[in-house]
Amino acid sequence: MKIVVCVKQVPDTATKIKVGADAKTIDSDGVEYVISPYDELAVEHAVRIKENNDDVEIVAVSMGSADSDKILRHALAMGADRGILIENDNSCDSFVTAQSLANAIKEENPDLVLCGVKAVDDDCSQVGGILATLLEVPFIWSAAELSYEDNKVTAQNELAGETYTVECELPCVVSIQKGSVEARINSLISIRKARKKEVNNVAATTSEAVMQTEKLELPAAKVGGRIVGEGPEAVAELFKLLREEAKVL
Amino acid sequence: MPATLDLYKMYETLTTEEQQIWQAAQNFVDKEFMPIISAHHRDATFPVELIPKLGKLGFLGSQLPEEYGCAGINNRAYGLIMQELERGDSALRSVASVQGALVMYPIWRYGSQQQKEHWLPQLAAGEKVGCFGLTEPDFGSNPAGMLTNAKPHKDGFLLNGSKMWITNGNIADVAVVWAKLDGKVHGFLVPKDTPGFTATEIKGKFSLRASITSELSFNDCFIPKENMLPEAQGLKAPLSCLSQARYGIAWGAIGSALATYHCALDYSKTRIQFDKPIASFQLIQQQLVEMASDITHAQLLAFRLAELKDQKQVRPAMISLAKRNNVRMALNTARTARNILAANGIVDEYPIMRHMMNLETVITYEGTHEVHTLILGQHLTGVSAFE
Ligand SMILES: Cc1cc2nc3c(=O)[nH]c(=O)nc-3n(C[C@H](O)[C@H](O)[C@H](O)COP(=O)(O)OP(=O)(O)OC[C@H]3O[C@@H](n4cnc5c(N)ncnc54)[C@H](O)[C@@H]3O)c2cc1C
Repeated sequence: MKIVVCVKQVPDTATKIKVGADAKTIDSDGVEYVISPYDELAVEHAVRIKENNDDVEIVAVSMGSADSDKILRHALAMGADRGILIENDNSCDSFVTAQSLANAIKEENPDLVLCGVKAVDDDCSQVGGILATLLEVPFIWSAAELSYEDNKVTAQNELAGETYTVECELPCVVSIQKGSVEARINSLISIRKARKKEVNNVAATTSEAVMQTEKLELPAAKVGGRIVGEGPEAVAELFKLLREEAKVL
Repeated sequence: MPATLDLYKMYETLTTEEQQIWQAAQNFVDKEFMPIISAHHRDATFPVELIPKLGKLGFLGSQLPEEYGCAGINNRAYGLIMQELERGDSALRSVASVQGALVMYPIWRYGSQQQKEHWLPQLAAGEKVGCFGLTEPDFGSNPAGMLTNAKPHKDGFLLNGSKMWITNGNIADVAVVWAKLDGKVHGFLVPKDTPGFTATEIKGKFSLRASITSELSFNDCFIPKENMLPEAQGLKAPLSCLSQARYGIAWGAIGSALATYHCALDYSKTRIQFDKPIASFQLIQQQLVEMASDITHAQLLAFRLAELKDQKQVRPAMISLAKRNNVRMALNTARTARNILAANGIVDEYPIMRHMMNLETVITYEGTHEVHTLILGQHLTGVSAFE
C-alpha cells in the first residue's frame, strides 16, 4: 500500500505577521516556518496506518520554496519513507497548487492521499477537493478520526453536534481535521535517520495562477469592548445589543 | 512554538537537523512538562514518569555514540535541548544533565566495555536512573579533601563514607561514587540494592524543589572490582564530567532567562498603571532592554562555546566563563522580571519565582560562582587563589 501525504510550509501561528513592502505578500524576515498543523496530523495518521499494517510506504509531497525541505524532513522524521519537493517560489492559488500536486501524485499511483483540512496560512480548505477531482477519486472532507482496514478507510467527523461516519474504498483522498490523534514528538534518532532519507526535487508543472492577490492588509485594530452592566439585570440589555447592534442573534 | 529571542539571528544559523531537535525539545517541554510543573514544584516531587519519555526521545546522553542507544548529536543541538529543558524548570534539565553528563559520560569515558554495554543502553532509554556522588557534607568546593574511601577486600573493595546534596539519589538505580583508594580518587558504580548503601532525601528545600536531592551513606559496602571505573584515576576524572555538565548549564541558563524575560515582557504590555501599559514607561523599558541585552550576550557565548567544543578546542576556563556568566545573567534576569511583575511576581501562577529560587542552586552547584571566578583568575594570572 502506498500513502501520499501532502504537506505545506506555513508561518508559525505564534508569528506576528507583517505585510511585505509589495503589499501583496507577508514580510518573511524573522518569520519561523513550520509544517501546517493539520498536515502534520495527516502525516501522523499515515504513520499510524503504517505501524499497524505490513508493506506500507509513505511519500510526503510538498510544493513550495526550496526550504520546504525542512518540513519534509519533519514528515520523514515522523515516519514517512521519502519526500518529493515540487519547487515553486511563486505564490499560487488552490487550483494551481492542486494541479501541481496531482501531476506529481499521479506518477506515484498511491492507494490513499491524505492532506490537512486546510493550511493555516490562507485557510482555503480547497486543495484536497480539487486534488481528488483531478485524480478522479472520491474525497472525504475533514476527517477527525480515520481508520484503515481491508482496502477501505472509515472516517468520522462531527458536524453540527452529530457524528458522521463515512466509509470509502481506496483509492481516495481524505483531508484531516483535529480529532483524538496528536502528532508525535520526533525522537533524536528519528530526526537523524530522516536526514539520510531521499527527497526528490522536481519542477512545478502548472499553468498560470488564475487568481491574483491584489492587496494584503492587516485587519483593523480591535476597538475596546464595552461592559453593559453586571448580574442578571444586564442580560436584557446585552440581549438587545447583540440583536440590534451586533446583529449576531 | 514558544517565544524566543534572537536579536543576533543566532538561531537562524541552525541546520535543519538542529532546528528539528530544538523543536522536539520545545514540544516536549510545552506539551508534557509545563502543564504539571507547578504542582510538582508545590509538592516537591519530580515527575519520574517523564524519565522514560526523555529516554525515548533521545534526550539522555544524547551526544554519546549510537552503538549504545544514544543519538550522537553535536554540541549545539545538545545545548538547545538543555536550553529548552531549563526553560521548563532547572529540575528537568538537572535530571538530564546528571544522567547524561555525570553518569553516562563517565561510564562511557572511563568504564570497561562490559560496564558500557550493561549500563549505557538502559540509562539512555531512561529505564534506569543514575546519580553522581562527589560532594560530601564537609567537602563541597574542595572535593580533593573527600573522606569517602575504598579499601581492598576479597575480590573488590569496601566503601565507606557519605555524599551530600546528590541529585536523584533516592530514585537512582546506580550511583557513580567518587572515593579515595590509596589516597587517589577513583569512581565506583554502586547499584541501589548494595548492602550498606542508603539514600535519604533532603527535605525543606526552597530551591530546585521539583528535583530529588539526597544524602548517600556507605557503610562497609562491598563493591566487586568489576564495578570500579577502570580508566578513572585522580580528581581529573570527576572534573571532566563536571565540564560536560557545566557546558549544558551554560545553555540551560539561557532557557530559564527566556522564560522569565518573556513573562515580564508580556506582563508589561498588559499591566495598566497611570492609564498606560507599564511597558510604555522608560524605566520598565530599560529593565527589559537590560534583560534582552544580557540574554543575547549569553547566547553568543553559548553558540561559540558549542563550536569550540565540536572542534575539540574547548578548555575548562572557557566553560567556567560561560557557566559563571550565564547563570548569573539568568538569576539577574529572574530578579528583574520579578520586579516588573511586582506583587504578581511572587506567586506561582507565574514561573518567575520558581526559576529564581532554582537558580540559587544552579549558581552554587557544578562549581560555585566564586569557584569559577578562581578558575578564571588562575587561568589569567597563572596564580591559584584557591588556598
Ligand atoms: C540542589 C542541589 C543539588 C546538587 N546536586 C549534586 C550532585 O548531584 N552531585 C554532587 O556531587 N553535588 C551536588 N550538589 C552539591 C554542589 O555541587 C555543592 O553544593 C557545591 O559544590 C558547593 O559546595 P558547598 O555547598 O559545600 O559550599 P562550600 O564549598 O562550603 O562553599 C561555601 C561558600 O564559600 C565559597 N568558597 C569556597 N571555597 C572558596 C575559595 N577557595 N575562595 C572563595 N570562596 C570560596 C563558595 O563559593 C560558597 O560561597 C548539589 C547541590 C544542590 C544545592
